[in-house]
Amino acid sequence: MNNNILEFQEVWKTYKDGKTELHALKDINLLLKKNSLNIILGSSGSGKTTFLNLASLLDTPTKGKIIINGQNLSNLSKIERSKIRRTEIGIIYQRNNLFPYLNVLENVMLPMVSPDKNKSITVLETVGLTETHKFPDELSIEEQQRVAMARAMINDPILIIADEPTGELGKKSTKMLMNLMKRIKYKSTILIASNNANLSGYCDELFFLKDGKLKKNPGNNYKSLNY
Amino acid sequence: MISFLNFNYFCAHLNRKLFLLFVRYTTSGVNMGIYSLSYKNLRRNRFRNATTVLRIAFGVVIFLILVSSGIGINTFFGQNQAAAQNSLLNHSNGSNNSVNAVVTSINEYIDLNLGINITNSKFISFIGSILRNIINFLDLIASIIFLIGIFGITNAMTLNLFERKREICLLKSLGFTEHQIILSHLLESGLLGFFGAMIGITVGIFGIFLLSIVVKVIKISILIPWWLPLIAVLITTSLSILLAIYIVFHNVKQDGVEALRYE
Repeated sequence: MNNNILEFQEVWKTYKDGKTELHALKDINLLLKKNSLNIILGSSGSGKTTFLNLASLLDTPTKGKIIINGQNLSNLSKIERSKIRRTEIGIIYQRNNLFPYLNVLENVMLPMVSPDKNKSITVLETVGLTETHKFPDELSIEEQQRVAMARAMINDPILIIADEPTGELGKKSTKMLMNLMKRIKYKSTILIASNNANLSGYCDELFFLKDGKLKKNPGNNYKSLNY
Repeated sequence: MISFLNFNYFCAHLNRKLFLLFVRYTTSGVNMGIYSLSYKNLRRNRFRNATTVLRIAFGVVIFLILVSSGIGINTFFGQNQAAAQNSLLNHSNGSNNSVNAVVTSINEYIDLNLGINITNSKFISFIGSILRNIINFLDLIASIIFLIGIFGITNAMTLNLFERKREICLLKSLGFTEHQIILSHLLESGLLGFFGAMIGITVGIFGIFLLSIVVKVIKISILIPWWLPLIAVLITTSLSILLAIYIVFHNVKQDGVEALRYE
């Protein structure tokens, strides 16, 4: 069993606007270990979204290699990347995670490769939700994030990627959600991108992204972030 | 009341089963979850979808009225008049010769009573050319109204799909392939177009039937030939799907995370 879940090797992402080139990510090297909770801190415009797009296989790097669970993803087709995203990666966003016309259970069951109601209920219970018949507009933001978390876990992915998962939450809810993440990491490695430096206390590995460059264990640099 | 609820539940259950069977049959080998999502959306957003369907139905009614009245796009088809003529001829239980004989005897009767060869006069041909111009003008107006009806369908479908940009991006991030997302949305749009066409045809045929009673047309098939409802369904469903192709393709290519972050 591979112990390295996600690996970035000299990854560059460059956008072209006419003759101008914009390097959104510059020479990124990263290694995420199994059962770890990793946080990438970065202010708005630092390249977090681009980084997450690459890590969740929604985009491809201009240069460099991305390896998930020992598999090099550079030469995969769109369909193959979609399959990996579905089975091996779970994604949680800051908001708008759920389909408004599906209830909690249906939202969780949607991406299941082989639908299993009992498993969905068990996963929902893991994140502390029992009212599976409710619709998203009947839930608090924290509960909605819990449902999103359950959905991200439903296919037993090796990696869960969360983009500002606590961005809309208060302090109490943030603490609750992060404690839940700490429990989940024993099933799936977790990668969180955030601009909230307070989350650094929950992680095993801390990264700092600034102007497209990634630093591991940034010392006190991240404390200058606006949050 | 209870039996009505049971019946309602039974219908809803049956609808779902039929829908999923239809989808399973037409899309064998691909995942069902996403198609079930389309069904849920059609059902849960029934008021918004009903608006779309009614707008499409309105376009279809305009289409039916214009084609069956023999103006507008009928100029392009040119089949309705032929159908009407055939039907009249059949009904008169005679041949072209008998019709010509009747026309000749009417002309003779007019000439005899008015004292001049009026049926061949310049005045009559002048009146005829004015009438033709008026019909051409009506034809133009009707074509414009028909285009407005088409625009109604276009507008309804565009609105329905652009609202779902976020949803398409979310599906992409959940690992559904572009192929699955496009197919599910095309299926949904096609169904909306189909339902709209069916409602439009029902309302249109009923309206034309009422009209046929008022104007005392002997056969309703003169106003609505058999091909007309079929063409209406085909055009509307294909149009709904074609419009959806462009919009869904456009949305599927969007940046997933950005679309979800900002609204």
